[in-house]
Amino acid sequence: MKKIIVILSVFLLMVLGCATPDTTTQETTTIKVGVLGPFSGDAASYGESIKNGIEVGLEASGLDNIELVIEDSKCDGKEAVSAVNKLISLDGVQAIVGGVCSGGTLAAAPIAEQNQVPMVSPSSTSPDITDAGDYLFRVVPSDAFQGAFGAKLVYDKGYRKLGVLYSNEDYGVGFNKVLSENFAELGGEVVASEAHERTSVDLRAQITKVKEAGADAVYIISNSADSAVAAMKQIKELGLEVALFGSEGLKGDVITDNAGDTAEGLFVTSVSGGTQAFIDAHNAKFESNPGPFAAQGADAIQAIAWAIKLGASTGAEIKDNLYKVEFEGDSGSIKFDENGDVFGSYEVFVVKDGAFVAEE
Amino acid sequence: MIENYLMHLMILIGIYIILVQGYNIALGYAGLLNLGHIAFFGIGAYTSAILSKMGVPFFIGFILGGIIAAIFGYFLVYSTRKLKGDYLALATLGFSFVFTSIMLNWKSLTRGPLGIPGIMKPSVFGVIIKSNFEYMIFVWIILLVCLYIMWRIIKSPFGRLMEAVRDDETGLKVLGKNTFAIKYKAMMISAFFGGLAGSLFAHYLSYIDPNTFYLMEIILVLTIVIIGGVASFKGTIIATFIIILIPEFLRLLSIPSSILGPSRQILYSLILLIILIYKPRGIFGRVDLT
Repeated sequence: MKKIIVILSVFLLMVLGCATPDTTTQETTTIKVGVLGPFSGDAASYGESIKNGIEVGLEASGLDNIELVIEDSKCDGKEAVSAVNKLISLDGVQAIVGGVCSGGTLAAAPIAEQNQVPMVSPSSTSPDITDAGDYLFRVVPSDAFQGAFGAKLVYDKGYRKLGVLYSNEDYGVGFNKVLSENFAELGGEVVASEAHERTSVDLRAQITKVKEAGADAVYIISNSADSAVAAMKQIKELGLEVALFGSEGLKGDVITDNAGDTAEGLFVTSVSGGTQAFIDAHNAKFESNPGPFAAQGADAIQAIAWAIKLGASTGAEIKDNLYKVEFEGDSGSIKFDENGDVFGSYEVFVVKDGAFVAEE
Repeated sequence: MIENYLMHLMILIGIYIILVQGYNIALGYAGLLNLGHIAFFGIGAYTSAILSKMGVPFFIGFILGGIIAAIFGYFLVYSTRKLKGDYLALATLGFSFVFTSIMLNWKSLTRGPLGIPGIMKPSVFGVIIKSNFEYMIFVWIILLVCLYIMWRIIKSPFGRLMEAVRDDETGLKVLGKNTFAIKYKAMMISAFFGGLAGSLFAHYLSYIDPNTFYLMEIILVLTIVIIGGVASFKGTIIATFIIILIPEFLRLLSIPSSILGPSRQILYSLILLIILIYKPRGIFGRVDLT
């Protein structure tokens, strides 16, 4: 027992020693902005890529009185609530960039609203975010828009019988719903719509159903590279002669490298990967290409920076000014509607000779 | 301002003490190696959330959450009545996977992976419990009532019988006791409190999705019971404080953001390992589970 007390007190001392009390060094002009995202767990790569984007965006904004406080939400409701409570009451942040996953964002939003701290999400695409309160903004368009965009793309390419393979999580379910509704409205027919677990690498059962339904195009909605690669290989293996379409999760070198020629001709709809200027700035700072949603991270912090430049310093003022902000961001033009959503733009890429080529 | 964060932690601790103390009744006292407890937590949360969305008053949803969890507790014991030890653990683990899977796929009821957002805060006699302070008082009043009831159960003759099932089931059968009845009662009590905790959790967080009640949470509650000491009433309470607070205190360390996530987890596991090396039966442990 004594040993435990000793260990615990040493640990407590360590914590107290390392914690930096914010009263001693704080300048009156510094505005703290929290960053809420997954930095551990299976979505950590998104958190890391967005955080890099935010740092690039912060430099570009030209404001030097913003201090970032980074907190881990693990993409989980409970952790996100703990993190947002800590950011607001302990660090005294006036605005938050985040959350990253829709689930965590939805759980954290009521607390931010209660404390009058606006949240600007770079990557939560769930349609539920639209109605989640006045203090919640996002610089990424809702899945509702991408589903509609994807449906039109398939229709315009001349396909009328669509099969959908979607991952069974909030992202996939929401996307599939909007895609199917819009495709039917345009006059096409969704002949099969099959769910699979997020990381599943055997989709033969689902693909067989799509084949029997007689689809002439297949839309793969997935955020897991392994799963998407497996789907494309198995579509070839089972002898389907169909056109392939994919959600933004399929745009990455990991897909073209692993799927080889089975990915040839794949169309991918994607939110913007960033302007060339942003990509160059990111390369100069981190010596790597920006990851997923990095450009959106940069835009989220820049929206807050614009609100501050318009004369805001408290959370409520930043929120009011965010509705007035309008600028040409790294991922497209940013202007929030009355729900805090942006309309957003999408790009289409096609795989040619094993590489993604932008399509006009 | 710091009070708000501390109150949030006290709310979480309050909810988890109800959850884990309930777990301790089945796992520690009755010796049922149950890895499905988190499903009861989820059943309570979903029942209460769905009912409140339909306009049912909070307390009815709250109690029904517990009762429905208890009914599933009965079925779990009934369907695994021939299993013991490791086999029981696997079967009950399967139960929690089945639960998550149903919540993911029964979309008309649970909205599947989209989860249920905007769960209202409870209202008691017309007063809506809104601020963290009010919710903390509310949770701790319910916690004290629950702890009192559990304490009376454990110290009752029935509590002794549960421990007897754990220590020598055959001996008890020789004395003519119906051990199956003791087991399912223990599991139902355990599940009931799990369901109540789930309801409090859902209304506090205001958003739940199936992944909230998955593998990581099973590990968390099991860790609390083991660190506190199996079948130790006060051990469970103290361990809940320790296990919930350590990762939160680790947030206060100024760690460079590039290694923030992993380094906290390393420190967290290190602390747990140290406790188990010095206290293999947990802080207040008195029995070994076989």
